[in-house]
Order: sequence, then structure tokens, then C-alpha cells
Amino acid sequence: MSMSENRLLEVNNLCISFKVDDNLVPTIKNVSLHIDKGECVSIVGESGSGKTVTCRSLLGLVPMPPGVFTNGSINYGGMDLTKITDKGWRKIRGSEISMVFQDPMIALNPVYTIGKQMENVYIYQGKSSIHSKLDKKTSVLKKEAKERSLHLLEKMKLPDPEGMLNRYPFELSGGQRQRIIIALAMIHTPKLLIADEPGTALDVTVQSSINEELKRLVKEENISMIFITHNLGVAKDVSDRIYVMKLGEVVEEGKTDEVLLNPKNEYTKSLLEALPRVTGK
Amino acid sequence: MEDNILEVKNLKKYYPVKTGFFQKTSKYVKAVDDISFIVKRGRSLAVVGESGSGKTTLANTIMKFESITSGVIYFNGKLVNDISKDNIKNYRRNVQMVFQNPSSSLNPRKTLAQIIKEPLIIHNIGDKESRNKRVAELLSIAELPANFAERYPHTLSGGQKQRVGIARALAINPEFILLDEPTSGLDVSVQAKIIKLLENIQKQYNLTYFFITHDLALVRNFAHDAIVMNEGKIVERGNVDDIFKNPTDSYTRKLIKSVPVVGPEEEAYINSIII
Amino acid sequence: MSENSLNYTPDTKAQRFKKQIRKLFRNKLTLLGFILVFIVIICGILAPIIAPYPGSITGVTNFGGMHLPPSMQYIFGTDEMGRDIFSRVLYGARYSLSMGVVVLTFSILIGVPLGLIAGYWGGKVNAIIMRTTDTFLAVPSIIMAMVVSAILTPNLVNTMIAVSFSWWPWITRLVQAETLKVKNEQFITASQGAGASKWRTAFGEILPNCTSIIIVKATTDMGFVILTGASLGFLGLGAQPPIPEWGNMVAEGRIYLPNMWWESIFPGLAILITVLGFNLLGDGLRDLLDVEND
Repeated sequence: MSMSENRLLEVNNLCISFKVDDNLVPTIKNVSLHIDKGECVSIVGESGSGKTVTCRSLLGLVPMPPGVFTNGSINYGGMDLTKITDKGWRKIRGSEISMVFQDPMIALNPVYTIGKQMENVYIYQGKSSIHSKLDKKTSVLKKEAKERSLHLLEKMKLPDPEGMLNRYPFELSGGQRQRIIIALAMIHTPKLLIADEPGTALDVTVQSSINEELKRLVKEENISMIFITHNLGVAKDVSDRIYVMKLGEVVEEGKTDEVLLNPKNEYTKSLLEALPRVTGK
Repeated sequence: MEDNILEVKNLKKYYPVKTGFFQKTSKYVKAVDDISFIVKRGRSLAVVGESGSGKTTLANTIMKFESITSGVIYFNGKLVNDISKDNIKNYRRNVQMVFQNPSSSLNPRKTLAQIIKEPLIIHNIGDKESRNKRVAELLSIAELPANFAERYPHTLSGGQKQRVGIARALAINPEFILLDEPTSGLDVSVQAKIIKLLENIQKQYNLTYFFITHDLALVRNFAHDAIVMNEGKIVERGNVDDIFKNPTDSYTRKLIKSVPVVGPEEEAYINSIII
Repeated sequence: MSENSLNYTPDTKAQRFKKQIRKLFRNKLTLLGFILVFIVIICGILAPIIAPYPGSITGVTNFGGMHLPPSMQYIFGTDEMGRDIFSRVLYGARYSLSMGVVVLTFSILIGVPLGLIAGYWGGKVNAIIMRTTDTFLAVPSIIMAMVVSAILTPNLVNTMIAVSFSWWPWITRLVQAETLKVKNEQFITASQGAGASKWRTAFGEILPNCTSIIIVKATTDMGFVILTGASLGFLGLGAQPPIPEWGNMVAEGRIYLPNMWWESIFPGLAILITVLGFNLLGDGLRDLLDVEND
């Protein structure tokens, strides 16, 4: 199970099935992928391709039951993520692997200020409950949390970081909320960031600036990123390598530029053909 | 027949912002701020804009879901600003809509046949037998199998639901169809098929399309003319090819520049756009 | 689901129904509820046939067999007039069940249209209807029933009227809330866009989306209506003795507790089983229909 020095995560022949009305339906079929340190990889597919389920399983976010691992492994940091317990997940989520969710409108808690939400993640990430023992005094932790939050808000190029801490999500625009979600994911400097179609609910111009932010983050912080998208253009813009998924299987993989210029698989070809070009027919 | 099927002049839709204890109107949100344009019969006009541009409000006023603050709208040469209840029904015979989210625009408790039949029943067209025939006809135009008539929406895929939406819009033979982001949320391969269907229907029935979108590639490939909206105003208008070859407005350029593209020719084109 | 789901043949109505029933009864408690309700209904319907002593229903007195404990001859024992309690309990099902059906039917017929109109039209109409509803809700149902019964003579029909008065507001509230939710859905806009009138939209489009919630409420409420009816019977309102209504049977037997326990306990158990059954069934239905809507 040992991986090379540079390799961060390895998914080997992953098979997940779901129990539906007494039947076991295979959903993810023999999916293998890997990501190295500092790499940005995109997983592209249409609805039903399995890209979201695959990535959620990297954070243990697929409900098991009704889901069940029928084969394969997810190797990360010497562990097999298909076999760890809740306690093990608490150590990983947020601090080693973090997720940026799709819809900023609903991913933030509307009743807490931004500052409070960031503080909560900083202090309580990994703890089993809000009553667990903390390493340091609460007041010290709150100060640290505020510093870290401000640092991240600046990094995400949000205006007036101090004021932002006291605002509520409904006061912000979609683009601002999306940046906050990214900041939240970065609080404990994870090694791997999973971005699940970030900003698809937002305007095109906002989306493109969000994608720029993510690219910059990956370079500056030297983290790895898995970028899930259905948009081939975005995949080209953002990632070094690409995995094309269809109906639970990986049908093509390789360097993004190569795969999109010279697709070998029929499905990939059909996707590219169906893409309307901004240069006209 | 009028060549200009829809003519809009100085259209304004302002929403009053009421503040204070006495609910006084302090200012207005100018959702649509003095716009004028013409839609020619048999052609497709794309309305491009981001959120807050006013494109949705514009659509709502044309569909008469909302009233206008000022300005005039002519449909087939007749003034249609504030029409009485009876005339609205008549208006709706000619102006139909295809909605954005196929999942929520079909009543989950009705069969496809009931959904498609509804406009016929509302406008008292035909009898039971002729309506059923029409439903079968529409299903075939929308390229859906005839036995789908008794199905419920939740058994269909997104693309199939959108076809039902199109069939419903065609039911009473409208001249003008407003489409609100008809392909967003659909898979790329499905989008292409839906667009092809819409093109075929347009040619066959000489329909005029007015569609709202933020997808510039779609505009390039599907629309004849376009207007670009920003903060309630039209910032660019004209023939689609002209706009793309020579975008004059800076906002339009910004929009084009932010389209994520795949091929080298596209990349070269995007790079040639200077903000 | 890709376009390839053209190959998928959907279930026929019969198949869908069977699947739903299976899902419903997967929960054992729901199955229990159904069985209890079924037993009660059968008892009510077949009472004239299965009651061993049909004479016990009316005032036939049997001085020789008064206050007999439960035995092979009299399964639930006899009461102060020597009447067979088992037969009376069986017949009692008819009164309680009919109370439930009548009250709920009335409440639905009044409450659903009011709720739909209030929710969809909004504004002043909504205000008038909902404030009226609030007024009726402000009076506890037992008090309302007592007042109505005091004005009219206490009997079964008048008790049904009384309970109906206090039940319809709940339905109105429920339907109004659901209407508010549904009216913002796009398919309602689509209906308006096709030219539908407000009435058509309210009753043709919104109402079908309210049916599952109405069914669940009606089922669960059956139990509570019956309980309310029995409570009124216990208080001497409602069906008067010698009619074997469960509530007044419990009241009559109360003075003989704890020695002749069977006279109150068995009708009381009948009430318990009925209310429990409807509650369990209603809960199961809610779980089933909630999942269906997702």
C-alpha cells in the first residue's frame, strides 16, 4: 500500500454499490485515479457519471448504508480511507482533505456571521462535539482564529476583511460567498482541496474569477486540487490532468491538453463534438 | 403581416424600495431602465446578461407576469401594455413560454398528456378526441415516443422533460415563444439535441424565438440577433456574427473573454478580444 | 438518467400500487396500525352478524345476569342491566367510526377550498379566511362541542356537528400552508402562462399537490376525532344511553370500578386500539408519502 514520495492520493479499482429496494446497484465501477502533490486534476462527466459520488467518498460523505464499498481502496497517508472509522474521518476532514461545495447560497449557515463560522471551523474542526477538551484556552483560540480568518479573507481578495467578519451571508453577493467557502476550506491548510463544480450557480464572469483564485491558491500554497466539472472548457483552463467519467467508469484519462485536442475514446469525442463553439459553426 | 412581431419602446420597470415606519418610497430599483428593441418575425433574438441585468424582468413583462412602469409594447402591431383579462388570454394564444428548470415546470401530479393538453383545454380548442390526437402529434414533433403520454414527469430525464415543455408551448400554435435558459442544467450532449429540435421547429412553423441566456456559445450557434443587457440597459445589439466579430462595448468584451474554451481556434479568438 | 431511459418501461398503475403497499408495510408498526384499524372496521360492519347477544344493544334488561365477570358465555362480561358488553362494544365501533368519517368529510369539504383560496389569492381574502379560522381555533374543541351540544339536544348527530365546527380550521391551515409552498413552483407559472384562470390553477394544479398531505392528516385525525367523540360521550353529551357508544359506556361503568372493572375497561380498550391503529397507520402513510415526494 506504499505510494511513491510525491503521490498524495491513490484510488485503486474503487467499486461502490447502492442498495435500492432490495437490489444492489453498482454505481462506481472500478474507478482508479491518483493525484500528486501540487497537482490539479479535473474529473469531467455528465449527470450520472459518478464524478460527485467518487469525490464524496474521498471524504466519507457518501451515506453507507445505502452505499457500500464492494471492492477497491482509497490510499491516503498510509491509510485506506474505505476502512476508517468516524474518528479517523474527523482527523482528515477539513485538515487534510477539504471540500468546496457547489452552491454558495446554501452552503453557508444563514444565522451565523462569517467571522463566527470561520472561528467555529478553526476551533472545533476534528473535535467530536463542542464540549470536547480544547488544547488551549478558548480566548487564545479565538484570537488565533481571527488572525487566520483575516489572513485568508485577504488572500481571497475580499474587500474590507475586518468588516466582513461581522457580516451575515445574506449580505454578500454570490461571488463573495463562494470565496468565503473556499476560505473556510483552507482554514487548516489541507493538502488536498476538492472543488465540486464551484460557482456553477454563479454568473460566468464571477465563475471565471473564482477559477482564477483557485488556480492561484494551488500554486501559492502548494496544495493539490481535484476539480469536478461538466464543462470541458473549465477543465482545460484549470487542470493539468483530466479524467473523463461516464456511467460510473473512467473512460479516458491523461494530460488535459492532450486529451481535449486528441481524444481517443468515443465518448470523449462525442462530448467535444457536442460542445457549441463560441467561434460559430 | 407585420415584419416586426414585437416592438418595445422605452420600456421601464422600476421596483419601489419602501423604508421607514410609514413605508415611504425612498428609491427605486431600476430593473429595466428605458430599453427599446425590435424582434423580427421568424428570427431568434437572444437576450444576454448576468444576474441583475434585468433580462428576467424583461421576460416577465413581455409574458405579462408583471406590469410595466412605463413604455410601450407592440405585438403584431397592436399595443399590449395593459390589456384586460380577456385580452390577456388572447395574448397567451400567441405568446408561449418554455421554462428554465424542466423539473419544476411540469406538474408532478399530472401525466404528460394532461400537461400538454392543458393549453388546449384552457383555450377551448377541439374536443376530447382531437385533443388526444394533438397530444400524439406534439409528442412526435418533440421526438418523444407516443406511449409516453401516460407517464409522469419524474420518470423522465432532464432532456426529455424539456421536450415536454417544448411540446406544451407548441400546443396552441403560438407565433412567438419565449425561452428562459432552455438548456441550462442539461448535459452537453442533450443540449445539442434540444437546440437542433428547436431549430427544426422554428423553420417548420415559422416561429419567432426570444430567448434568455448567459451562454455565449449558445448565442453564437443558435441566435440570429442579440441584445446584451447590463444593469437594466442594453449595452450592445445587432446581428450575432457582427457582435462577436466586433464587440464594441466593454462589458460585452468582458463576457466574451470569460467563456472557457477548448479548441485552439477558439483560444485565438478569445485572445484577440481586448478589454 | 440519460436519454437512454427510453428503454425503461414505467410500472403500470397496478404495479405502482403494489410497490407502494409493500413499502408501506415494511414498517411493522404501520402494519400493526393497519391490522388494528381493519379489525375495528370489520367489527363495526359485521356487528349485527357476529354480536352474540344482539338484544343487548337496546334496553333489554336481564336482571338475572347483571354484573357478570368475563366468561365463556359473556366474553367481556355484563353490565348493570345484564347486557353483554362484547356485543355492545362491537356495535359501538359503528358510532365511533361514523363520527370520524362524518366529521372529517365535513372538515375536508369546508377546509380544503377555504385553505386553497386563502393561500392562492392572498391579500385581503387570505386575511379574512385565516382570521376566521384563528377565531374557531381559539376555542378548545371540547368546550365548543359542549356549547353546541347544550344549545341543541345531546345526541350523536349534534355531537358530530359540534366536533366538525372545531375540526375544519386545522384542515384550512394545513392546506393554506401547503398552497403557499406550491404556488411559487414553476409549473404554476407555466399554467398561468398558458392562460389558465386563477380558479383553474388553484383547483386544477395546486390541489392535486395537496392530496397526500390531506390523506395523512385525515388518517391520523380519525383517531383524535374518535377520541374527542368518546370524551364527549363520557361527559354525557353525544349519543345517549342505551345507545352503546364507547364513551358513555366508560362513564356508566365508572362507578363500579375497580370491582367490576370489565364494564369500563373493555370499551376503554376499544377506544385505545382504534386511536392507536389510526395513528400508526397515519404515521406510516406520512413516511411513505414524504419519501415519494422527494
